Order: sequence, then C-alpha cells, then structure tokens
Amino acid sequence: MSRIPLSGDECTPPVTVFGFVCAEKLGDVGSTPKFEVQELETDLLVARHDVLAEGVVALSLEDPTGRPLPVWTPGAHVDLVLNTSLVRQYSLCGSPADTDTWRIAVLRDPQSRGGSGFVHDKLQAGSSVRVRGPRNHFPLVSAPRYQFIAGGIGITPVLPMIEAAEAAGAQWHLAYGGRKRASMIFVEDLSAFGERVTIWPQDERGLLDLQGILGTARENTLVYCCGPEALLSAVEGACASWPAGALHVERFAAKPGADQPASGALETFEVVCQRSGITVTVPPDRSVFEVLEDVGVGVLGSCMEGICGTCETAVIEGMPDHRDSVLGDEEQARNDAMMLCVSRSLSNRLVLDL
Amino acid sequence: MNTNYPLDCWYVAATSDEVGSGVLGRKLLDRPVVLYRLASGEVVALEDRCAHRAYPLSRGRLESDLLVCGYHGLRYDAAGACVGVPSQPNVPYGVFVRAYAVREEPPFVWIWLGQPGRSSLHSPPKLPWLSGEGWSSSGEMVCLAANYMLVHEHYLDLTHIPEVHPEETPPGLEELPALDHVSVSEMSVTYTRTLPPAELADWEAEATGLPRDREYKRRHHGTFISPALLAEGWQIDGGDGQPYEQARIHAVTPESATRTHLFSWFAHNFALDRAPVGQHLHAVMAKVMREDVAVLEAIEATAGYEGSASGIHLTADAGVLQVRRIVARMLATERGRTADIR
Repeated sequence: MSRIPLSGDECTPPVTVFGFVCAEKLGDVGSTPKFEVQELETDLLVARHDVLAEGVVALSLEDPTGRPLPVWTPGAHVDLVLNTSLVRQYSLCGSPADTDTWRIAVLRDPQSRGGSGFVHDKLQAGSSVRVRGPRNHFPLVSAPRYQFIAGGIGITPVLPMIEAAEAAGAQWHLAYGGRKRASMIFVEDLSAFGERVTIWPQDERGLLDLQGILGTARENTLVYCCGPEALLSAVEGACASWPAGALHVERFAAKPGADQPASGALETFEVVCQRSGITVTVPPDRSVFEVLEDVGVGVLGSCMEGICGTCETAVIEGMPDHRDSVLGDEEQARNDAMMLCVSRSLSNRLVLDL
Repeated sequence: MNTNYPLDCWYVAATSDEVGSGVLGRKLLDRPVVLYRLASGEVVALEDRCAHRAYPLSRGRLESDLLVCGYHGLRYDAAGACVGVPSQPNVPYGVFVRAYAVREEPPFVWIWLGQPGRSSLHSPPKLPWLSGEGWSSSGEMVCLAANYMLVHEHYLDLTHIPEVHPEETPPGLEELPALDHVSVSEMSVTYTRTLPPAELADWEAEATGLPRDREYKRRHHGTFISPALLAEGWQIDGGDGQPYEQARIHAVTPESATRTHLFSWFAHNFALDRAPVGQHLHAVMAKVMREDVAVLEAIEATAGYEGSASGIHLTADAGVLQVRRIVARMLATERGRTADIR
C-alpha cells in the first residue's frame, strides 16, 4: 500500500516511538534536544476508512511497521494532530485487547471547524496521520452495575466499556439515543445484547426518557454518559439525587459557561512549583500553562480549552478558579487539582505539585 | 504495607523451560500457584493449595493429566476441579481449586491472577526481540528481596550506570545526562537519551568488533510497557551502516510486597553468526544484573519502597514520576475508588 503523506507533515517528526527496534537511525539525530516530558506522538497508518452510517466514518489505525501499539483502557481517547493548529479528540471504540489496531469513529459535523471534514474528505486508506496519546479521563471504575447513556457519536467510548463490563461479569444497561436510526452506528452489533440495550431514535421515540432511566438513584451503580452537550446537561440534572461520584461524563467541547471567571477571580497571581522550587507570576493575558512552559517546568498539555484533562495538576495550597469542563462539581470543590490551561486563581498564591 | 501491584495485568509466571515434565510451585502476587504441562504441552496454572488440608499441590505428582495431592491423594483436573478421592467412592460435589488463565509465548509463560473474566480485555505484550527474526537472546531469572516498583524505578533512571556499573560505562560518559525526552500515554512511558560521542567500553568493543580508536554516538531508550514489563534499548552508531542494537527486557513479577521475581532477558541484532558474542554479552549482563540486585536489596532493607519513594526527585526522575501516576491510577480503578483516580 502506498503511503499518502498528509497530516503531520508540518509537524516535527517524533523523536520517540513505542518500542525501539525501528527507531530512526541514530546518525540522523542532531544535537541533544532540550529535555521535555510530552505525550506520546506517533505517525500511524490509516489501514481502513469505512462509512458506518450517514455522516460517520470509522478509521482503523495501525503502526506502519507493524509494531504493537501502546495499551489503553475503556474510555480512553486519542488526539488526531491534523496539522499544528487542528487537533481533535476521538474516543477509541475497538477492543483494548487488540494491540495492533486502534479504531475511532468520526461524525461529519456541519459546523466543523475543519477536523471532521478533514478526516472524512482528506484521509483515506493508506494515509498517514499523526496521533497523540492515548489518554483517559473517563475511566471505567470497577462497579457491580453500570448505566450507560450515549447520544449519537457518544456511543464510541461506551463500546469498549460494555466489553469490559461483560468481561467483569457486571450488570449493565445502555440507553442509546440518536437523531434517527440510519445515523446511529453499531446498532446491529448492540442488538445482540437484547434487553440490555435500548435503542432510542429521536424521530421514532422522541428524546431519551432520562426521568425513567435515572429518576430513582440506584445503589452500587455508576452512570457513564457521553454525547452532545444538551444530553450531558440533562443527565447531570437528572442525576442530582444520585450519590456524589456516581455520574461520569465525557465532553469533547467546553461546557457552556465553564470558562467564565468565578467571583473573586484574580487577574494576576503567583504560582509556586513546589518540587521544582520555581515561583512565577501569572499576568492577566497569559495562562498558568503558558507561563510554566516558558520557564521550563515540565507540564503536559493538549487541547488548551479545559476539555482533555492532559494538564491536570495537583494543588497543594491555594484556591483555584476552575474554568475547565473535566472535573465534576465535587472534584472542583475539593480544590486539590486543576487544569493549568484554563483555570486561574482565587488566592494570591497557588502551590502546585510540580 | 498495602500491596502496590495491580492484579489485573498479565505477569510472567515462569520461563517455558521451567515448566517441564514436573510440577513447579511459585508464589506470585502473594498467591501460591502451581504450574505444570498437560500431555498436549499446554501449560496449566492452579492455586497451589489442596482444598482439603491446604497442602501445596506442587509437592504432589502428575498422573497423566491429573495433579495428585501428595498428602491424601486428591486428584485435580486442568480446570482445578477435584475429580477423585482415594479414600471414598464419591467425589465431593463442587470441590475445586482456582485455575488461572495462562498464555505461553516463549520464552515466557504469562499468567492472569486478576478478576478472571478481565483477562480477555488484555494481551500479554509482544516481545519481538525475544522471538522475532534478526535477534539472538538469552536471559536468566532471579528472585530478589525488593518491592517490584524498586525494580521498575531502577531501570527507568539509568543515571546510576556510572556509579553502579563503572566497568561497563563507556570512557568519557562518567556523567550521564538526564533524559532527552519522556513520552507518556495512558498506560506507558517511553524515555530516550542521546549520548555524546565516546569511546567503546571493553564489553562493547568485544561484542561489536568495532575499532577502539574512535568515538561513537549512542542512544539509550526504554519503555514501561506495563507493571509487568519494562524494555530498554542501547544503540551504538558504528558509522558503518550496521545496526548495533541491544535490548534488555525486564519482566517484573511481584512475589510479595518485599520480594520480586525478575526475568531479565538480553537480545542483540548483530554478529548473529558468532556464538561467543552472545555468550560474552550474557556474561556481562548477568554481572550487571547481580550489581543491580545488590543495590535494590540494600534499598529495600534500609527503607522499603515507601521510604524510597518519599525521597527527593531529580530531573532524571521524570519517567519514574509518570510511571507512579499510571500505577496509582491502575490501583484506584481496580479497587473501584473513584475519588482516588485523579
């Protein structure tokens, strides 16, 4: 298969790859690069590019030299680095036991800012694509019972979760909503599970009956939900009476209003990196992440919108002004962790575990 | 101390050679396990404890494909079910010992000691250096008195080489730089370090046959693949277009909180037609491993893992810190504690 160089070509080539048999020739390496901690980045081959349903394509990604891919767990996602300014997150929807292939499914978004259009129109079998990750901020915590709720393309992280729940012998039910049946992927595969899956196309049955599904809090049950913002907000509302920590949601866009400063947010504040012994001042026009990166404190980051969770950092002292969409209300209230890319400070001094 | 190893992970239980015609008993992850082969060659792993009086089944014997307890003669099949009791005609109903999922991928036998069904969600890591063409490999196993994370952390930060292995350190590299680059994914950490040009150490010269009167570039890199496995590579740029690569594979299996089975394998991809090169490298790596074991046992005896992990951090610890996060997350997820995941 000929490789069509497409995305990633504008980026610097990765220095490291998983495994090391086929690492680039040593002679090609220039002077010692500056020390960095980064997320794993590698160029993968699009082995398959299939249309799954109206407006949805699935990609199968493999290492071009056949090496095994890094391990991931259900709920994990990867970044496709389509070019330096076009980075999109997609959940892995294949089996975690398959270390040769990663699968993602991508919905064509009419309001696309370029990502889904690029994946649909420019990528094809044989293309190369830069992939970063995987990472997981939606991990499936061990539990006797799960209620899964998926809206549209939000079904993708739920598929490996169902495989894991089955393998662990847990009880589970999936409520899967979509605009119409023809736009919903994996419906046929899921029908094998009988009554444990409720397919709910909006044009046939209206909106998901969240009151019926979540109206009564159930013991020892965790709720996992992925889908459009309207569904996530509705599920958060319907779960208000559930025990704290029962609901887990995954967002691929910032929560509306999340980026608004809390009252008492400071424009300028001091950040102390306890382990590195470095103290910096964060000015109004810069993020904590940017300031720390400038002074060489090793921090990981990806989306810079407070949605991917990569830059999560433990807070030792001080009160963050949380503006992310990753941490739940109760997690934010603990004030023991923050996202450096968007969150700021309510106290003059934040001490971080960096 | 609480155990700090995840259960839901494929670990190396033994080498293929160790599971021969007899019965092998071994403590893995604080669980007694007995390993043996069926006539078909398939490896079986059972709980090493008779359901009757808890006598280790590994002290018994094989009778065709049945494992016979060496105390009162209870017979167990490969699924762990008791199928015969010599002193009575009927077999007690529903008596069994636990059977563990096993996969043999020479040179290793992998075992799943976690939640039974979850084994299908994971695969033992592939090790092309030990089974693939173009490589020659050998290794040995030791049981050392140290927590398994001490072993991982030792091989994640190789700035110890000049102090611990001075004879194997290339001249001029007595001060190893920290890491160039650490790459992190959900479950793995990869590090690389490019070394300034230096002359060959004796062992490198003998193995590669390269001339000693010049300096060579090297790259050292490694990957924490799972809590059960860490792989490292040492590449020498010979300037002659030949790849001079060596891989060290460390399969790390906790025996208990303070003891670890270490399966240390070594592979090279050059001079494959010269057997003495392989023997030489084996001897060098065996010496290096003995030196590593002495260091790790001294740390365990002094402070244990928790004491060691509470020490200060250096730049070279970047990989170690990332691995600690991964393992902490695995433990929290496994124990169902949402609050501790972050």
